[in-house]
Amino acid sequence: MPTKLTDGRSDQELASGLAAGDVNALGLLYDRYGGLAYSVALRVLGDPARSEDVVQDCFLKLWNGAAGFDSGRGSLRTWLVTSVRNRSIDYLRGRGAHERQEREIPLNVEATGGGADPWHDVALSIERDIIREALDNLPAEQRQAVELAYFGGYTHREIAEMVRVPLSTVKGRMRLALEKLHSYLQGRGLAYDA
Amino acid sequence: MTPEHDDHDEMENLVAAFVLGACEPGEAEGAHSHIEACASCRELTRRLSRSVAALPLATDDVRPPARLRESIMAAASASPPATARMAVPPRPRRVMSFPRRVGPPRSFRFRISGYAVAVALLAVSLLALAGWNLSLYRTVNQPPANYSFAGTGSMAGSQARVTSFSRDGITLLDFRGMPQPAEGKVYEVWLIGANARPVPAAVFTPSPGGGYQLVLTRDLGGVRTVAVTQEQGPDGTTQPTQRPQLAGHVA
Repeated sequence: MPTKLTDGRSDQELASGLAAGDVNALGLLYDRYGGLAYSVALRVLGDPARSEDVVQDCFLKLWNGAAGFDSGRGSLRTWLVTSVRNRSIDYLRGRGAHERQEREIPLNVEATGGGADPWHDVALSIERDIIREALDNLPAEQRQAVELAYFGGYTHREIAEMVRVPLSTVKGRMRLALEKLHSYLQGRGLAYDA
Repeated sequence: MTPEHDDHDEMENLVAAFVLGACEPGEAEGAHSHIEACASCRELTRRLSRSVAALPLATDDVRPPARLRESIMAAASASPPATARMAVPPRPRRVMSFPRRVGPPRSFRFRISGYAVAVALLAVSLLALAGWNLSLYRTVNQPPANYSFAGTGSMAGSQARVTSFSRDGITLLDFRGMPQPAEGKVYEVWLIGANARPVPAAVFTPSPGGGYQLVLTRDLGGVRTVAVTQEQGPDGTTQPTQRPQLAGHVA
């Protein structure tokens, strides 16, 4: 069956739609990045219910204009997932570091098939492959340092204690990892607005 | 080594933790102030932040439950955004009276403003010429850009190599290992820009060996992704009807 293609408005156009109070723009934005936002929240929190709360908060914040998103300063996608990540880490920190658990993706969540907009999905899935490849190419300890910080919400001192290495070693690993990722992604034609 | 250098080195080592949000409480403000004042740390921050912006895409692709969308849309419909809710009345125009300016006679003022306009026009023309020269220099000296990607699913084993000669406004596509399309079908090449709208670029049927070389009389300016789908022959379609299994980034 032919795939139904949805509105091909750019993110910039969707941001303008949101500012004008167009609820359809919010729906399209959710169809485009809701899955990514949820994946990030779930990776950090490991809890589907809390992940839903975080994603809902962030989308509504964007909708209410309280989020202070400025399209001139970065991409909507980067803004949204960064906001979801930060809110998720706040959740984690709010309930105390000792409550952190090993996280696995629950089995009752479906893997994404064709999303609402297959062409965005294609572009996104290619980017995902490249980024995973880039992370796979990092030495394990560098990758671990970055993942514990970004997805685990740990500070560099906590990571140093956890993996029992000097703080300076953790700082060095983080920097090397991010430098290598940058070179790899740039070499593959991916440049991100921070 | 001076204390300033010590401080700089210490702060430079903090940049990665800073962009990852992994500084200790209280450290981040110091790092932030230093980064604002230090050009090399600002550049490092910019570079490392780009890597951090890519990290969310390393997560497993998980579909949220359908109720999440419904609940967001219901909450949004019940509360229109503040900016749209408030009808902003037009700002009253301020009428100001200025004291009468004492200056040279009118004809002299005209002469001065005439010279000023001519000088401004000349400056703008020179700037435009310099900009055009620079852009021409960059275009002429730009090497061709190369990209390659491999097929998945039913197109596993196929490969595409894309070479864009932006200087000449042409793009070469070299396909290898393409399976023969189904009866009555052709392969269609799509160029996708940042707005995700696929634009049809060409149709082709590979040789019995699975190879095909294609020349597009355009460069890849504004194109982010090249994708190939199987469509109805002989002319293809205006919109893709399937998810491509051979696609890659070219931006």
